[in-house]
Amino acid sequence: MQEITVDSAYLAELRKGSPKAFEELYNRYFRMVEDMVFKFNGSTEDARDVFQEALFVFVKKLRDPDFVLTSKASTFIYAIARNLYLKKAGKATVEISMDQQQFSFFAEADPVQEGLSPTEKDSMLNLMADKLGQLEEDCRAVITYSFYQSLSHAQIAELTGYTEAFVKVKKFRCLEYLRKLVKASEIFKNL
Amino acid sequence: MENNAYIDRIHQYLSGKMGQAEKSDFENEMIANDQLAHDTKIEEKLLLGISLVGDDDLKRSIAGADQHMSAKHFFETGKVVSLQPNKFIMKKLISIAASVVILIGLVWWGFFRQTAPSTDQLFADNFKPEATKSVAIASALTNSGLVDSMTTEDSLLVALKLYNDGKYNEAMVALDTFLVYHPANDTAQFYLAMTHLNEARYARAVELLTPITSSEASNFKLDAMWYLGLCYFKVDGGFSKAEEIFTQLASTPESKDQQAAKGILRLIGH
Repeated sequence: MQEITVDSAYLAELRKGSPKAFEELYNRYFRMVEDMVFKFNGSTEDARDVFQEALFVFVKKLRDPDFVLTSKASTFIYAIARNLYLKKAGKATVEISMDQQQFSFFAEADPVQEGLSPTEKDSMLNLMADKLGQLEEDCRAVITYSFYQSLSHAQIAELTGYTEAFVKVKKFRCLEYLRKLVKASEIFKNL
Repeated sequence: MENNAYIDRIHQYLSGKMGQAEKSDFENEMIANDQLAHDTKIEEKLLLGISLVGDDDLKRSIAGADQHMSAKHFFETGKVVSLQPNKFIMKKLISIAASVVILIGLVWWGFFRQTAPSTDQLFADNFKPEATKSVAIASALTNSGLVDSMTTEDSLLVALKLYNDGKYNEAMVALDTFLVYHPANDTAQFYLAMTHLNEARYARAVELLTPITSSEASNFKLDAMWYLGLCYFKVDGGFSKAEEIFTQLASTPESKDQQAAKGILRLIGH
């Protein structure tokens, strides 16, 4: 199994959510997770589910500017997958055998998201997807890079070809436009 | 809220990037300033919404990669599962039990010659990939090839053309990609479900069709109900759900499948 180096350009592709980068992760690490699931009498389908969830957690963490990957990518993915699978399969012991600090987010919950019911989350998701869809492509990209992928103005400038100063202006302009769109919605007012 | 620095400060607070003293100051300021408290609440919801869409996009991208790997038979080429002894025994017991059930079934069938078709047969007799609307929608999306870069309509058109050509796996990837940018598009959701249904991935089709059947605003609601009912014939334990859906359709005059639903209900002895 070929290991992904922490500082590789590959991780940057993963942060961007490149489909090729995800497929590469499947090629490199899926069998490792599948073996772990087999060990607990699970199936390939179980492994596919848990691998997708583990990749989601992995990429979300990579996008957190305060997160530093101190272990190997394989170690990290294996630990997430194993803990997720044991939890899902209702195994009594959820094991976190790696660096505790690195995996402390397992105990964390997003306080804001936790405050919403599944229906409210769905309403909010549909509303925002609709309104973001009404923005121009470049606006949507700047908002996503800035507020979801947590990229700096310099990184966004590199990706978009704008100057840093323009990225900053554009970010607020686009956000202002999005704010006007959503504020007019009853769903948004009631949440 | 015109001032960028003002918004930036709220974002700093919401993202937990303020130091303890600065955070306390901000919170005290919110108590004294209703406008700041209100604007902070708005920004909190706005950022939460962006984060939910981002999470959803990320999940779809990962699911798209999984489907792409599946289309390449990646999951079939893995090693054979080495069964542990208890699982092996369980498998043996299940196969013996299954043989007994089959034997009893054959004897029963031989004596009574029950004429009700199997759910597989019902599915095979009634399932036809949706083709009328997809062709009509594709014909209405006419701007393909007129610009250098792909527009929203172009992307959907390409996906629907692949679907109409019966290239379901390729259509699936194109629709998944389209949905990354337009997650609420029910046309793409419906035809993505159709691609899975055509490729016998019934569980995934059920997952995609179910929300459409509860969407009053969707033009695909009734079509989705019909196909969801058929899907349930192919899913373990789905018979009663299928029966429930066809009962609903049978009493829905707006559905083009009303008569067919009634026919299915007659065949299953409803």
